Amino acid sequence: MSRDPEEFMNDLEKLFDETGVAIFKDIQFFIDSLVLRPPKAAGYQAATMATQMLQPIAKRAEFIWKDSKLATITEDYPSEINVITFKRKGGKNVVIGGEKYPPFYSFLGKNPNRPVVTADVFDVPIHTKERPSILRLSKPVKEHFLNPDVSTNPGLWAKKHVEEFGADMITLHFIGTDPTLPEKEGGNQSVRQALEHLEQVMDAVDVPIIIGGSGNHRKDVELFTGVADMIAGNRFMLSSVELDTYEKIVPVAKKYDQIVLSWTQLDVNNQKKLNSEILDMGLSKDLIVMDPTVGPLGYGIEYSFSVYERMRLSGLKGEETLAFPMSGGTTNAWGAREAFMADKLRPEWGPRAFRGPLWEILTAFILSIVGLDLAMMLHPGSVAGFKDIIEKLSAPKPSKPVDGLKWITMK
Amino acid sequence: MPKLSPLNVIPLLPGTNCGQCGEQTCMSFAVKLLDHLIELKECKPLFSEKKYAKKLKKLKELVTPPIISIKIGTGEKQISIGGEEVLYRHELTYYSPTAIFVDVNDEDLDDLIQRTEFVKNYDWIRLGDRINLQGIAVRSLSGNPDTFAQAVKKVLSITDLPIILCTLDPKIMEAGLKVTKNKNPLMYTATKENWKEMAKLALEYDVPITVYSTDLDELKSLCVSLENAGINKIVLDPGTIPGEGHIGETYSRHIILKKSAIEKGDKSIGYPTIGIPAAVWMDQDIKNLSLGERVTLSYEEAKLGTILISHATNLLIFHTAENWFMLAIGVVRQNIYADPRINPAVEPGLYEINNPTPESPLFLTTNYTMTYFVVKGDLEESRIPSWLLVINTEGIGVECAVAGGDLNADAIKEHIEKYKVNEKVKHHGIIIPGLAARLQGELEDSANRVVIVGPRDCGGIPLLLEKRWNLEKIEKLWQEMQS
Repeated sequence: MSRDPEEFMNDLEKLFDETGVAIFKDIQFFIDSLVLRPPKAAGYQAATMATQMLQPIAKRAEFIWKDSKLATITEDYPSEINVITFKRKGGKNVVIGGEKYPPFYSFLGKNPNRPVVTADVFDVPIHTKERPSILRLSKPVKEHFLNPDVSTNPGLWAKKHVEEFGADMITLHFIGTDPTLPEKEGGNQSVRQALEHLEQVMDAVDVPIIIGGSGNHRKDVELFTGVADMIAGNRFMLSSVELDTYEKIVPVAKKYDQIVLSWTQLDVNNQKKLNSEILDMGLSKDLIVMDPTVGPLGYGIEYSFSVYERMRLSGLKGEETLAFPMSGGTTNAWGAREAFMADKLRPEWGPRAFRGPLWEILTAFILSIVGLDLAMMLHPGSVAGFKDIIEKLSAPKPSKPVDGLKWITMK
Repeated sequence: MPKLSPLNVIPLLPGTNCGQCGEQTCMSFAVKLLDHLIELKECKPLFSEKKYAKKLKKLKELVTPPIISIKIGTGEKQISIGGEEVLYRHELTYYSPTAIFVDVNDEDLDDLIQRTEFVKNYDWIRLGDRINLQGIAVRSLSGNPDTFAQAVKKVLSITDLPIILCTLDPKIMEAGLKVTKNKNPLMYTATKENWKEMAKLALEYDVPITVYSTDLDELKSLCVSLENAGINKIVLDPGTIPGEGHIGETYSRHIILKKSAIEKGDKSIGYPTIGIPAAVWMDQDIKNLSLGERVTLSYEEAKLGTILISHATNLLIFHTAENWFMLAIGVVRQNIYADPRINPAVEPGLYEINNPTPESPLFLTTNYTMTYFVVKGDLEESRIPSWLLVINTEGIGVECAVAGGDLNADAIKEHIEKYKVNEKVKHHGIIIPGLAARLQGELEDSANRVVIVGPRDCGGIPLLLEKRWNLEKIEKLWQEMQS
């Protein structure tokens, strides 16, 4: 029925039969106020009836402001995440960890250190048609380092990451030291060659460096032992130690005051076990970072997401074997076909130039929401995009309010 | 709020272990009920026998989720948002995936048509899941009720997807509601200023209504005032504000609402939440932006969407309507809403693809669900008859399984024997993933097969077969290996 009072009464009148009776069933009226005048045809009785029937329903729809308060959220996180300081003698230090609250819970308080980026550099040149190499990078990534080609010199490569693209640290991956990889493609390098590459990087940049092994257990022990003298005095990170290798590598870290990256594969219990074994060997708790493994967006990030989240919440709630900052190989995002597949193969996915870097950003970003402190990244656009959102999220509460409804009328 | 245990449920069930629900005991019904694997209505006696009426009432209250579900739209395309029981997905799972809407305005009809068509047609299958969009948010930019009604009508003529009517003016809202009668649109939005008029419309048209405020006390007051007027189909917008400092506050407000409802049990705000990543465009001269500026804003919008999806904001409105953008957002949602209780592994074994013969090529991969689906999908798509040997790596992908030692020459040999590969595949070749290249030598020794290192991504398989799959050559190499 109409909401105009005049029309409403006319409508109402039509409902009454000749005897002045109308039966109302299953109807609701929602009205602010009601003025009744005697209906023209149906007579006074009907109007009285209508009034009586309307009253209880009209009462139901009360529009009264009810001032209410949301209870303040107070949550007790009794522990803190350990603080880790990467040190570069005569250069920059980088601090991660020290969290008191889950990431970006600014309603509880502010965490002291924000997530940082370490950029990947390799000890072999990037594969090209003319130059076969074990290092194959997807096109949108490699084009940033091939023109001019900085990949033949890890020092130049590192410099580009730090000076042009804003990386906080450098990870030098010694993938070429794997003795099972072919020499003509950059594999089977000696520790002596590794030292030369490390020196190039140390000369080129003044940020802390992460020493990345090849994954060959025997050679990694040799590598970490071999570089120890050269990096002594700095506090770098040996990446990584596993359940199979920690016994040999932890003593090196202890002797030379280096950080270790404790790596397990998406298994909270294994991570606890490995961390407590490392602690039992006497390595100080401010020398341990953990990496529970990154599955990229689209290919298992949900497992990483929940493992990172569980470990961070446990660490804050008092689980000492999980109270460590977390690192992650977010570069793995480039292993997702949505990131690297050429436009002509998947036209329905849109331009790779846009989806590629976004894939790496979102992989790093979504994990930083659940505890990632150190993102290992590769594409310069991704580094910038990740750092930008972290800065915006970490910035203090602005004093000037913004009207969040303006979007309705944006042009 | 403490998490329910089956022991809370058991006393409220008949306790007769009658088996009508398909479960052996009331205990196992209780366990499944809490895991959402069975519905309450399956307990027939509880509903049919009067003596259980009290128990039924209590049980219904007990299992009502702390965040209720709200339906938007009608018919096949209707969506239901909300229904979460946990803030952290590892504690159980998230249920109704975040609904994704795209905005249109009532002034640019060509743009409106194009965007509506995009939303309607964005629909594909990724690794077994459907990736699609849920609806259209129509904004009143003109400020004119008739223009708004025309725009809404236009959208309705293109699609029957759910609609959100966006305006702060009750007159314009009513114009929109008139043309969406019986379509159950979502009203956006009531504020402290317009709530009475908006509430009347919500009652009159019997549709769900959004309440907006960045002040959470005010937001709760709006909820309580609406509830007092008899409204209980509410959606909460605590404000999505882009830019430095504001994004952190936005995320915090969303988390506070979820925590208050789920962990503190505050029923007066136990409603689904809505986020507006489209707001990153609100102070921009959108039509005059360069491509670079547009992509930068879309990236910011994607990041805002990602942080909101990560902890189960129930509905998001985006502005960027492009494939590369929705690909990322769709996959973020797919991953976060994947059920963590399901093991990410498929059965190991020898799989037949496209009816292989004993001469068809033999491929190898791990039993991680994603890896398996991608390889299988590519082989099927390429129509190559083939054998796929799936190795049990405890659900870990190739690269990590090689690094971690789960994928090794001995394990492969065991699988070859266990699944009788040599009886079904009569040649002596095997193609391994490029990421497992380092296994080549060892595997040739242990499995006594000629190992061909395949591409790093299975998209390269057709090319590999064309260039390097030559049975004669393989058999010749194998003969040489034997001497």
